[in-house]
Amino acid sequence: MPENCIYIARSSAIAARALAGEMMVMNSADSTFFTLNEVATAIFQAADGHTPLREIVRDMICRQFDVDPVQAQADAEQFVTELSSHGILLVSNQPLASEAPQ
Amino acid sequence: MSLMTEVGQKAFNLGVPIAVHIDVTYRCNERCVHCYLDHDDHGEMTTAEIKDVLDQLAEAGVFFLTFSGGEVFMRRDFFELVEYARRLMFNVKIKTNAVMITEKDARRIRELDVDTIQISVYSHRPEVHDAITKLPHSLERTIKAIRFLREQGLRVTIANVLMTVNSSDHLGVQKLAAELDVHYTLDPTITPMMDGDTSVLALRIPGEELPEIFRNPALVASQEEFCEPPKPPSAEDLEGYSCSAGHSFCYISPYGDVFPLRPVSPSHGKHPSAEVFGYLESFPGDERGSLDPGQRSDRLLIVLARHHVHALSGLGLCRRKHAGPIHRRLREVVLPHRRADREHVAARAVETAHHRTPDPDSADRRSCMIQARPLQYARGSGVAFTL
Ligand code: SF4
Repeated sequence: MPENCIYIARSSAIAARALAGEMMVMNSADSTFFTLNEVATAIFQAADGHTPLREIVRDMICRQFDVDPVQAQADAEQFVTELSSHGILLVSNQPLASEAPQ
Repeated sequence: MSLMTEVGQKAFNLGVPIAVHIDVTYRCNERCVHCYLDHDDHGEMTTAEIKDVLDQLAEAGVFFLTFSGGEVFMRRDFFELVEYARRLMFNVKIKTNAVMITEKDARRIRELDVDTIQISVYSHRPEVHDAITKLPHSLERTIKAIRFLREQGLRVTIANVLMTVNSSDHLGVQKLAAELDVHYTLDPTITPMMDGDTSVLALRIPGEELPEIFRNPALVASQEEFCEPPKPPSAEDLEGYSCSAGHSFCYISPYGDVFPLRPVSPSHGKHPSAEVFGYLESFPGDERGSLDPGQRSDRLLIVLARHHVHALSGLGLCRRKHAGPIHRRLREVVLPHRRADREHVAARAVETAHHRTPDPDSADRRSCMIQARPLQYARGSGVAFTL
């Protein structure tokens, strides 16, 4: 999948809540529980289904954090792949209808 | 320390109410012989009021939300409330007797991604179970509902309250749970009624019979650990908060009152301390002596917490210097706007299998907690990118 075509949306099946700047996320289907740090939380919150991941990394992560854009993109893709394997994020090369509220 | 424990500790330190138990009604279609509730409706919160409470809870940082009662399905708006809670992204657990759950309801529960459904079963024998619930065919209907829920792949826990009238049936209920492929949990706690009537305490299994039950390896993973006498609390224990009640956990009644734990007897203050100490029969006399609320309420709570009783918070917790401000803050956060802020009653609280306080780290969770590997790289800001 070309990197500029990745769209991400939060699944409606999950539970999520911010705690002191970090996000707690749980998928009730398999009871996997994650905490996301500040950077990962920013990506998770920006996962609206219609903003490409590349844009999220460029406009949000690289502006807010001191990070090399290529490295940030690679890390973000790895993060997205991992969370999608647990059903927490939906990933597509087409815009997605966001299942979960902001 | 597991990731979940770490998060729980963080919430505890910050005073974030990470887990809340809300009883949406005290009405019920069963009339269990040991039930401590007053089933009449004395002005339950409306749909809009409960939604307002849920909004505030989400804002306050609540993650684990347990809906219980009474029987939750007595409320016609129950699915509307669960749907609203899920939209606010709570992790939702439901406690029910399941009698009213149809196949269609089970599907709806799955669609709403409810985490766990905890269901009360008193015996594998209909004549015993139905005599306790006083509802004919209740066991048959409950089992049918459990099958519907399992067909949907939902996580179900059977909660088996043990008392004199079903004391010999726990092995049968465990077998039933295994057949149904659901988790099993047992609780011998019987508590006085909300009006202070203690006659139901006659149903308690005598203390001398409990060790036999709790020496059952199927129930207690490590007997040595479980039966080990509690260590005396350290100075550090006595300095800090000794219980999550009012700190990272609270209870909300159908009427919008908020308590640090589930209240049982509002007339607690009138109970002689000897009766309150009935819960502590298993403790050595010298420890019991030091648990005089006038001397050390901290110690009492620590010892109880260690024994997973989480009871008797009313003895001193609500009046303690730590609990007071946090408890008041919780009240401010969650009371529906239109309700008068009624005076909090220093109530006694207990947890029972049917109405257990949510424990994110409890052994009955089939959770697989993932501490994903950190994807760290060197950066000027030093912010780690950790999943
Ligand atoms: S114990 Fe639970 S199921 Fe039984 S009458 Fe009370 S609320 Fe209803």
